[in-house]
Amino acid sequence: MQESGAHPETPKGSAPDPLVWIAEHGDVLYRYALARVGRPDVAEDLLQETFVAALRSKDGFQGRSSERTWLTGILRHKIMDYFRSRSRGLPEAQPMSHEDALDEFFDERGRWIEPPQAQAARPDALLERDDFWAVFDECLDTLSPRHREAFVRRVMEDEDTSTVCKALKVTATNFWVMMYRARTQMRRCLMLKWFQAGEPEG
Amino acid sequence: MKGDLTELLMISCEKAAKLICEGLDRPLSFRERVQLRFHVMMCSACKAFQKQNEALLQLFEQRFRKLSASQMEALSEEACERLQRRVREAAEAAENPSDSE
Repeated sequence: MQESGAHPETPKGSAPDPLVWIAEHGDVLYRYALARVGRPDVAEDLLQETFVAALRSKDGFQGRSSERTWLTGILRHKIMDYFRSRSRGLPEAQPMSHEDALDEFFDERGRWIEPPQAQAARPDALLERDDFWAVFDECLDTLSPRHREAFVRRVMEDEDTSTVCKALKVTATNFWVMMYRARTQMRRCLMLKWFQAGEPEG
Repeated sequence: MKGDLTELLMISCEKAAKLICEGLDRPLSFRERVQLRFHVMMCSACKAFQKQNEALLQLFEQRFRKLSASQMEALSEEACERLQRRVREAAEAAENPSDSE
């Protein structure tokens, strides 16, 4: 990933100045974090942690990539930590039972028990609705921690399969199964909590 | 011959759902693609499942990958100042480690 590779010597310029970072990259990094965590206060916390971590690793930025890429890399780690730490506060039993129940989507002959129904949803209209992303967040919490991490990495961080497999120490086949479960569960949760309950729009 | 073909093409909804999802993470084989297309053609539930997945994927992509500058709020001036203060304080605290890490 970005962390490895040569360290070409580059002029360091002036000492790192977090105020300049905030001015130059603050908005972009904030949007990046907010799109993923959905909460302004959390996004702000993550930015603070990112800048502080960047400051501490004084020789961390070597000009290998752009400063923004470097800061985004730190932020991504903070986001993953956030999702990981959040799962510690959750009761284990509930997500696990959800997971077990997944196979109950289908009967013993592989037919849908509750067949998905065609929706008249317009996804583009949802993008800017904060309440949709709050529901998304709730649904993310119903995944087991491992499935959540797989989902966050693959879907939200756009990591490729081999990167996620390495990080989670699973085989590709296992990973596909995990993602199948995560995606199916997210779809179902969103359909139940939002499309069917929330939006009376026909 | 006809029996073989049917057997080749017929998959369960469970298998179809799996292929729909896995198709997002790996390339499906030719056989799998044919099976899936054939199944979805005849099965309204799996067609709905596929549509919903595509719609969600599109939604996620726009939010997580193609964030355009105008689409989301930026740091407010107030938040920006707060952040500057907090970073400065945290940095100072780190330099004078009376606190824990």
